[in-house]
Amino acid sequence: MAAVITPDRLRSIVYGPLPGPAAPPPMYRMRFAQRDIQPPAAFRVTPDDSLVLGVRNALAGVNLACQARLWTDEGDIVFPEVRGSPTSDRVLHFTAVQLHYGYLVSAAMWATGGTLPRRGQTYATMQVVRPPLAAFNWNLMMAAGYITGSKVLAWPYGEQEDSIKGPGMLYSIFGTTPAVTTDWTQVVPTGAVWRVRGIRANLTTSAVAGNRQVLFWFDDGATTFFHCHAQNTQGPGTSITYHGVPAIPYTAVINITQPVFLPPEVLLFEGWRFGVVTVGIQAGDQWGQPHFLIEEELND
Amino acid sequence: MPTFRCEHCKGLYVDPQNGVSFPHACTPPVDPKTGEHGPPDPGARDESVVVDAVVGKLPDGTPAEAAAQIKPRIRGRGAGRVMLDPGDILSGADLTTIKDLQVRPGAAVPDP
Repeated sequence: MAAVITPDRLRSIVYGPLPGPAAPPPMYRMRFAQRDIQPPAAFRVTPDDSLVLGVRNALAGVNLACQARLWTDEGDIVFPEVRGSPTSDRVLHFTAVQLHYGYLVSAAMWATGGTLPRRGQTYATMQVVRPPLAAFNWNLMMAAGYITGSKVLAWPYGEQEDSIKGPGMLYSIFGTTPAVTTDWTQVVPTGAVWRVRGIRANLTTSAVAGNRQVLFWFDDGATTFFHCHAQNTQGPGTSITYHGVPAIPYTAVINITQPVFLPPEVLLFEGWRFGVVTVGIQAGDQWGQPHFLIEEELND
Repeated sequence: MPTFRCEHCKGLYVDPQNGVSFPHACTPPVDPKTGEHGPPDPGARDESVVVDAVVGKLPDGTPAEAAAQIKPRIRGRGAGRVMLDPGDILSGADLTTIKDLQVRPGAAVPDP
């Protein structure tokens, strides 16, 4: 079985074995006076400065590496580096690397290992700040954007990409199967923005008499925006699968299937919810496991 | 992909799915006649992640630098949850299996 080429492996191919500490390559020393090279004065840093990395991540098992190049006052090029696995809770976490006397030449941040994120899963920023870190004196914003298997966050020439501009990561997920005679709900995770692309859920009704009317609802965590109702009611002792489809026209019920109109672009903020209400629900009615097609971006 | 049951609403769910967490939140109470739902039950479980402070001073006056030490927590614990199986035994389940899972004993597990 062929080995998977990861950025780590690629890096080792490009650079070859790293030199040992006893034999630094001569080109590492770039003394200003000897070579008449002017330092990039705009990027002067001191131990009062920190390279701060901000990461929002949704995917468990992601590993990130960040390495900068710092041209020291002694003329050496050194490589401040940090590696780690961010939490997968979509919460913004910062990591600070203290710098020292010199000039910042470049910095890059990339994903390593076997679990590589896709667009919409790992959003990162790089900046130089001065303490106190709580006040974040933002001296130099370097880059912001999603990191993927082949997309590196880099500076200089790095972009500042918004976290919400689409397309996001597509997820085919299952919601909560509710208790009997209960409806289901799905909440948008903290740190995420969702576009609901599809809903599919089955309702099996008991023998208790009465028609049930199914409707999907969308709210901001408290107040309902709108309802999308099924075209027909459902009687006792039946099993019908409801399909919420964006912009689908109302069509006749096909036996065991009912289409439900959804607005073409349902964009939901973190903490907002959608769910189902079964008007006239009767004892013994049971919803199956709801299935959603979701497009997610991180909300930074 | 473990299978859990919320001990507040008895809902069944699998989390995480494909390496990504999708939090469970109990369904709010609904008026069965109008279809309108009210605010969430105060005792409900909501696994949405919240961070109590990012910058500024903490309620006890701790400097904001300590905010980085604050661990994100879930919004509402409710009556907790139990793990029914370390794998996904819910996806594709028929009604008989769902009814069984709704009452099957489970192992109490810590919150995410």
